[in-house]
Amino acid sequence: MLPVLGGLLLAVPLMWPQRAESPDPMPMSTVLIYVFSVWLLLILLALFFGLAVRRWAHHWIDAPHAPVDDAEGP
Amino acid sequence: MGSLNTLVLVCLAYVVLLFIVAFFADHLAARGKSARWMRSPLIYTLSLSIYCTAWTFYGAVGNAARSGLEFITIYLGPTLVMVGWWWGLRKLVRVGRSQRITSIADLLSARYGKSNTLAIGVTLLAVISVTPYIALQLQSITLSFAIFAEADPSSRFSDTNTVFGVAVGLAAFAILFGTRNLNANERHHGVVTAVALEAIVKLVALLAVGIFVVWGIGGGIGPTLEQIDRSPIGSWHVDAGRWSTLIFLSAAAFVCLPRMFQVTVVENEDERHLRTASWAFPLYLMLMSLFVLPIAAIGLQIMPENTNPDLFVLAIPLSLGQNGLAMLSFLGGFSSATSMVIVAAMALSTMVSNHIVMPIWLRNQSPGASVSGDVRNVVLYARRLCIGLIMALGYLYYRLSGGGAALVTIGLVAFAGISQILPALVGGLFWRGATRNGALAGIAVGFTVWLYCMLLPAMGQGVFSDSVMHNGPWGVAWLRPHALFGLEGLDPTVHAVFWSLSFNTVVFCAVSLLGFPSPLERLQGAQFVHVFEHSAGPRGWSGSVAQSEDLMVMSQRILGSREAQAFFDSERERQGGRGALPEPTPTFLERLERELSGSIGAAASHAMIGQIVGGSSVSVQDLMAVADETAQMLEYSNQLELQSAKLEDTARKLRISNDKLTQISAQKDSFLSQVSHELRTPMTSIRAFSEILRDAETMAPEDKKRYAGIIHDEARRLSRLLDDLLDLSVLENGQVTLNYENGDLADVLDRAVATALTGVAEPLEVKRNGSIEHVRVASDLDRLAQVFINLIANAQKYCDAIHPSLTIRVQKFGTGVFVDFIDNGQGIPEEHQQMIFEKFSRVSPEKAGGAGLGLAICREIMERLGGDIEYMRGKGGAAFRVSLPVGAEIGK
Repeated sequence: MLPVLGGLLLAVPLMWPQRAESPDPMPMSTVLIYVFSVWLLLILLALFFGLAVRRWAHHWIDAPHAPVDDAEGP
Repeated sequence: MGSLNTLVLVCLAYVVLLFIVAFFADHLAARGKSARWMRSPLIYTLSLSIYCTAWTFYGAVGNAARSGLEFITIYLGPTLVMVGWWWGLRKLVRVGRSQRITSIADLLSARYGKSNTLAIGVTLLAVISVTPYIALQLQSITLSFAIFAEADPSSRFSDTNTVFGVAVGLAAFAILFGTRNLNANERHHGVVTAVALEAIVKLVALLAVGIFVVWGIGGGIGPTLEQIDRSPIGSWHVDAGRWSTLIFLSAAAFVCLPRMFQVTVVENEDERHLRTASWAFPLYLMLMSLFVLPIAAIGLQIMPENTNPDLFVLAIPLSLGQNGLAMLSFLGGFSSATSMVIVAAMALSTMVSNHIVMPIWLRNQSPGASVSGDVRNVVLYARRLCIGLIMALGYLYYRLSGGGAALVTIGLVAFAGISQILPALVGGLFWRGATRNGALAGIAVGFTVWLYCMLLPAMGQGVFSDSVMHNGPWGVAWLRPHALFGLEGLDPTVHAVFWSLSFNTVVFCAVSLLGFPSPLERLQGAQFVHVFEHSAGPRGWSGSVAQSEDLMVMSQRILGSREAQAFFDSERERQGGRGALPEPTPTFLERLERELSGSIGAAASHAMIGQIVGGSSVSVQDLMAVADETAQMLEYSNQLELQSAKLEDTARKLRISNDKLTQISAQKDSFLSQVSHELRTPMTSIRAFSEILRDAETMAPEDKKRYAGIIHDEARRLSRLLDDLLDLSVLENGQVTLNYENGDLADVLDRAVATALTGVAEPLEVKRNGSIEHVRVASDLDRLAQVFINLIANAQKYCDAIHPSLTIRVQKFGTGVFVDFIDNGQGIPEEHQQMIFEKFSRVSPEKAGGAGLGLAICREIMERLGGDIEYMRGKGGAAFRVSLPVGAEIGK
């Protein structure tokens, strides 16, 4: 879901006025700041997601302590 | 001005540092003592940074200087992949670990039923698309050397020598640390650690240059942004198609590139590292690209017109006299190039040696001649050779292409090429219906289109002439490499990516849907698609004594307690260790595996040790091998069982015949004594009476007549006995001549009854059923009558009923008749029934007058006549059935 959100957000600048088609194009600095903000947002979301995973996916996180491969002996 | 010599010295010192770090890390890892930091998510994240090659280090600035913000797409793609790790990369990593995958080719081959054809295809595709990329790294290192050389007039700089030296050096490094040992899980701690160090160096270098440019030249963030807006790239301009295509392409390449697969999946220590990398790696990418645009904009402003924008990162500090910074920047670029080349060469060599060289070598090897250790050495040499070969290819490509094209173009060509794996990869992970043929066809078609639309046109004028490019081959317009099927007006990259991946996906899906996967494919498909249900948790790999305990327990169960203890003790002594158990070193494991395979078969022992040491789940192929062995054993045991059943049967038959022989022998003995007795009795009386006749002086004539009569009777009895014996002997030897004639069965029976009962004091009652007896038979009627007489006489002799009677019944069947003789006596006891047809057998000797030859003669006669005689059970008394073929009428 994050990649989709990211993809959509990063597609937004495509709708902004460009040099070739408009006499008053969007300045590069604005786009730059926008893209990096989206980027940072994605990073933060991923960070939070990672923390959330630690909380709700115990089975995944705690697996090394669980007797996973001793269940079936030779 | 920095001298070229200093640069070379610094460069060499840096390489030596990398060597030391790599060696140190390898050493620690080999002793199983790798420090916590070496297995931390941080190292993993940093090792992912080999995505940022010299292409991104130098080329991003060049790209930004040419087309503005477009460069950033190359970083955005991987970012999107990383933040979506939970659905994509996690699965890939889990599959890679549980299936012990060693490369992307291995992954695809494993998914599609261990198809080596597919692996070879993917390997070739990878080699073809990565070689230009390696050439690109060589070029960037050379270019950066050249920049320093220009600044240092005293130097004698040679392009060719530098490239050659660099290529050889990189190959040596990759060989040293990539192929030091052969690890089952293909991890290279040394290389990964060195790569992580290089990741830090390149980040620091780029940030340093960026900070210098923004604050040192630009005068802070605000003014720099203003300068950017004023520069030629200062306004928003991007092609929407390219923007999204490039994001997609870089995302695809991030997953599919062999070197990325190597660090993401193969070198992954712990699946949970992904959690950290999911935000840390995008952060790394963001920092890497943060200053790209400012550097490009300022560079365009202050550098002379003819400067190659690809080298702004180096040229700006150099031109401003910042030699230290330039040096750092150079090291950054150098790091990017070297780490990429080393890992890529390693990954490719693994693929080439595993899927191309080894199968060929194994095929040419006489079976049974190879020992495990031999193979390991061959694999290592093959890898070393492959690394050398790949570097040579890269070098050749560089020399042939002349190194002129802009860096970014080559990079994109490589990306698009390797992305052809994507449909088969994604399909393999998420769609169980994907088949090997689908994957093969898709990749082949995609690869062809990519070759035609992208690689060949990109290789310059030599391959396609202008007319082909503008009018299509043979003037067919819709085959123009940049406007396939008349799709004009698209950017060439977008055009090539669109067509190649569309064809690829469509063909892949279509062929998969049309075909049907093989059983192995279906199993592997299920293993891949539902990997989270099939594999254990994301635990790390670690060699510890705890494993030795597990191994010990397992070995005890298989080998037996004392043997296992002895084996472990000897191993511990061999290792010189002091603990209770030996360390689970590869040698030890190999020996243990051999030891166990003696008991449970090679495949099973491999699977078991893998289960304990590797922590990876047992692959389907392992299971199949185990199943094969089990099936073989089952078959052996079945065969054994069959054999023993046969033996038992034979033994039983032997026992029966032995019993019979013993019985017969006993009979013979008793018969001989009987015969002697029978012979002696008449002989004695003959002798006695003849002596009386000889010696008596005077004798009444009636006495004389009586004695002579006795002698005559006894002599007749003797000759009858001898006749019987002769008859039987003749019949048995088959020397009898049968006199066939036509006759009525009833007549034969009449004659037999009359003969048998003539002169008997109390004849038994004979019951017959009249008219049905009139059957015409063609047989030896005298012999037949002999049989009947014998049977009737027997009944007369043995029937113990108060009013003895004999029923003679004639029945027709098929082509013959049954003649049954049933009396109303007690019959023959069970234990004698088997023997009555044998010679010399007599059921009750005290009653018998004959020598026990009658029934034996009857059976011989009936066999000669093509019929049979048998005893019938459960008929009340003694019952014999004579079966007789009617026979063809003997005509005149």
